[in-house]
Amino acid sequence: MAYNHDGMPDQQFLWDVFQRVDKDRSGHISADELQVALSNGTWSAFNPETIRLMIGMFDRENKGTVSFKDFGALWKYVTDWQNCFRSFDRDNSGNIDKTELKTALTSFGYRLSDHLIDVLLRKFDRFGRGTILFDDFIQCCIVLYTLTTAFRQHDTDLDGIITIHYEQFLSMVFSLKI
Amino acid sequence: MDDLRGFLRQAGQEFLNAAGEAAMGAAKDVVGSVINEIFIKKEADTKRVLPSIKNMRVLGEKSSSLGPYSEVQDYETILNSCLASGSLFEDPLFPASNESLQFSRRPDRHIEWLRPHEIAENPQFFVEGYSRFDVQQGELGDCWLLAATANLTQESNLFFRVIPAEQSFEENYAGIFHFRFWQYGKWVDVIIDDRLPTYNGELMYMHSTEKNEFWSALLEKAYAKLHGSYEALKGGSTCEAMEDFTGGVSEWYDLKEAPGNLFTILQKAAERNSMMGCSIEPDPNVTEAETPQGLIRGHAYSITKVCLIDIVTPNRQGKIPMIRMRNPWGNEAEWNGPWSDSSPEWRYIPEEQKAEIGLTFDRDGEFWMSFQDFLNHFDRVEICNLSPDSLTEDQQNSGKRKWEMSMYEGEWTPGVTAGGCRNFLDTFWHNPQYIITLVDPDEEDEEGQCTVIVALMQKNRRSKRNMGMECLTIGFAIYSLNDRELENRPQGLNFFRYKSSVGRSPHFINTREVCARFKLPPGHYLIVPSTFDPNEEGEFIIRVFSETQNNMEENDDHVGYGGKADTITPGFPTPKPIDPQKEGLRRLFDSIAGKDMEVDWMELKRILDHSMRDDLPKPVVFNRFSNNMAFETQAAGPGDDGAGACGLLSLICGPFLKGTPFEEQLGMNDQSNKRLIGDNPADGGPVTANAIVDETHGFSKDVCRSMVAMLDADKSGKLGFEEFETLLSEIAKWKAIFKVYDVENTGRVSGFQLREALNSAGYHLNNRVLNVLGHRYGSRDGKIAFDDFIMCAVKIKTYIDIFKERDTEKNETATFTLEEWIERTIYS
Repeated sequence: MAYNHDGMPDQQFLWDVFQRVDKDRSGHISADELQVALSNGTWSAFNPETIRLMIGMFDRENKGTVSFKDFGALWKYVTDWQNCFRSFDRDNSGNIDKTELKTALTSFGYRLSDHLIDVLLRKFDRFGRGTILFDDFIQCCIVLYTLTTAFRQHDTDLDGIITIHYEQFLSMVFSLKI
Repeated sequence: MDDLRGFLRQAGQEFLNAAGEAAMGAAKDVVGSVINEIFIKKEADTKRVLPSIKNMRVLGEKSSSLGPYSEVQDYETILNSCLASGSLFEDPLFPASNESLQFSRRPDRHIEWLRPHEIAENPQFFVEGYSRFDVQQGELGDCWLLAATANLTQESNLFFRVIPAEQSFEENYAGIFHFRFWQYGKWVDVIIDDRLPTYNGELMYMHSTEKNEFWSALLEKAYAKLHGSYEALKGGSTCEAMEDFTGGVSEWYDLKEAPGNLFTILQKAAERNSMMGCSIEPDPNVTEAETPQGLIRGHAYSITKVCLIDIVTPNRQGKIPMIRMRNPWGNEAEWNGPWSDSSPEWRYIPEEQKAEIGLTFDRDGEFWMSFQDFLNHFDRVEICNLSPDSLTEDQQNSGKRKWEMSMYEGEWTPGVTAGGCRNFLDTFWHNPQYIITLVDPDEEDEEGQCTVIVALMQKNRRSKRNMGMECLTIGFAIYSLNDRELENRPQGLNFFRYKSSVGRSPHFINTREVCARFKLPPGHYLIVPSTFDPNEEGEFIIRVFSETQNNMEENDDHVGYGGKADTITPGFPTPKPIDPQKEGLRRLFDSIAGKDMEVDWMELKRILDHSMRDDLPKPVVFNRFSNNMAFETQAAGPGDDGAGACGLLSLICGPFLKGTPFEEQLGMNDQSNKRLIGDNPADGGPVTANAIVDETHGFSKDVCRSMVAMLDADKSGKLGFEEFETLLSEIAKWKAIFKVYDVENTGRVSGFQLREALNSAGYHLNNRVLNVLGHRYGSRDGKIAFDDFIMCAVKIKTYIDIFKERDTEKNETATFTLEEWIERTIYS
């Protein structure tokens, strides 16, 4: 695998990967094609919500698919998450437990209570085993980032408290697409 | 059971009666016949140059996606960084290379990018201040930009808003400059380096008469960056540039069809410091051909003065309407007819009048014409009416007038608010609606009417390869409202069916902006902006300029919850199940839940996917190998009781709607229910089944999780029996509402019906929230599937509960800490 100086693999390598993911040779990668291509380390399907979030981020043409032009950024995004996930999966189990999750979020700059960590775990723990898989981990981090960003847009005096009208509240939560 | 059945039948009958009465009531409001009002689409003659989405994002326009953003450049930060490191700025976003010059082909000669120090000795930002003579055209066909720039020099406050004055090539020089442009209601700071395209050591494009003056060349570069390239500036209209320089609203007139009061319009525009330009149709064979009268075809002139001037001749005395214009070429061709620089007509003007109008005879491209000759020789005039903040306090005190301006941002969302024009009557009323209220007539208006300018501008259109934007075809219509009609928010289908517009945009046209001027009597008016065809997605701003207050507001439903929230309207009864059914439901619940006496989201999904399978839209089958080897689960229960519980599931759902028109659509097959449990009577006893949860079809994981979260009071992640019972009751209600609107039983409803459907459930939302819902739950063709509709309803109910919990003073305002916000929103 050849890397260019900006950390992006060369175009030929990307094109080969793109061709393998683009099963129907449409020139675009759909959500279903991406889901088939990715693995979360178990036999269950990759989280369709995470797929939807990732397609949304890199779909500059707003078509629900990703073109080759944006595929490089998407590929880098997924591999960055893989490296991130592995760095917090200390026991190499293929999933992360509550302690590992707390370590990860703290290193990302969040200061969350144990209670909130429990809420996140309950939300993103697919099998009720007290652990989070790779694809659910991505969704968890994206959702947390999105919520924090939306909150800070309204927290104009940066005191950690917002007061909002009902309509603002609805527009906030529904536009988050989580 | 028979009593309940009778009650439900009567309730259904009452619902039908109520619906019939509502229809009859609506019919009684009809006055006159159906209006057959047709709108015509028009294609713009020339493609307008518009900002590309790339630059909008670069310049800090808010993006709605979660994606990575380009870096937003900050002038002070970069300047200080360059000064500290002793380097000159080189802009990575608008590099000194061919891609910034042209996009359609390579330049035909060697272009050198040079800093001003390399072009001239002692470069200056301004030489002896700035003036309209600093704007000379280069080889680019952007005289429209030159005309607007020359216009800009007429007003120092406007000029310095676009061109910050503190920049120079001496103190704090680092090769970086910045300019500000108005973009869709916001002022955007554009940062550039000062490498300029040259050929043979001379500037190729816009330049100043003074060889060492550079403000205009740098301004042009910033505008080119805003649009993606220098070539993007070829072929535009002065209107566009004037709006980007001032935030004003532009209108134009064909002088072959000039309105009778055009001179008054121009005069009033001049009183309000409007910027004005005019042009002659280009000669198709010669670029910027010269007419025998010394005028240039296809050239954008600036109008610098409009006035009546005193004339004294041996035969008569009075006032003559006159216009002064300027040729952006600066010092060449000028009008050589009456009132030109060398014209004998000037002998009849008193000296004090000449001084008052600032008459000069320099060969400077500036000249006077009579208004009549202006009409005869020019084809088009453009007026940029300035927004109120463009006038200084001194100007207002000295009697300058200003416009009253209102502005709203809006959006056309497919299936929600992209209703199309009046030709599509069924969806037209879903467009955003705005109300203006005119109270005072114009000063000096003899008919007691009000002047109103309405401007609709579309924004942020995507483009390919910076080839200019593919604009939507847009327009608007204006309707008068009486006091009774004013109470409807928004106006519905019948309003538009039986009402003619009192005004409309001159065309539905694919230009960035469509603008029109109206004279309206005082009163209330409704403005409906739209695309020509329905379901075209876009964002817009709509502005209303008037001489007196126009009191513009959105005509929309109030967002809130009250007594009706969380309750259903009459006609959708939700009686509690009677005891025998409750026992059956309990047995069903027990058989699914197993030992822990609770169901999690996966168990819930199995129940819903099966019992609602006929309502879900048919999945699209992909020709691919699936690796959906899903989670294994067990469902076991006593044979006889299990069979009974299966049958009771349909009974539980059925009785809620028996006696209503939807009864037959709720039928469920008992045999299928048996397969759900996996009980096989032939085996003679209960068996353990290994069922596979298919996550890619049926209800999504998230909606099942959200349903659990909605009712999971103890936050255990699972539902107890009472919670399960409440959930089924809610789902039955939402299903019934969905069926009302899914008349063809396709499993999908049009997003246009979302408002009415949610109103039926007791929720009242406005366009802004409906647009967000349309983006979130609608497909790209504006349809909403059954499971997404359920998800939408579940989410609204959950968020209402969350918000009410925090709204301690019941004034529709709530306070959240960051952690409360995350917890409440994420577990929902």
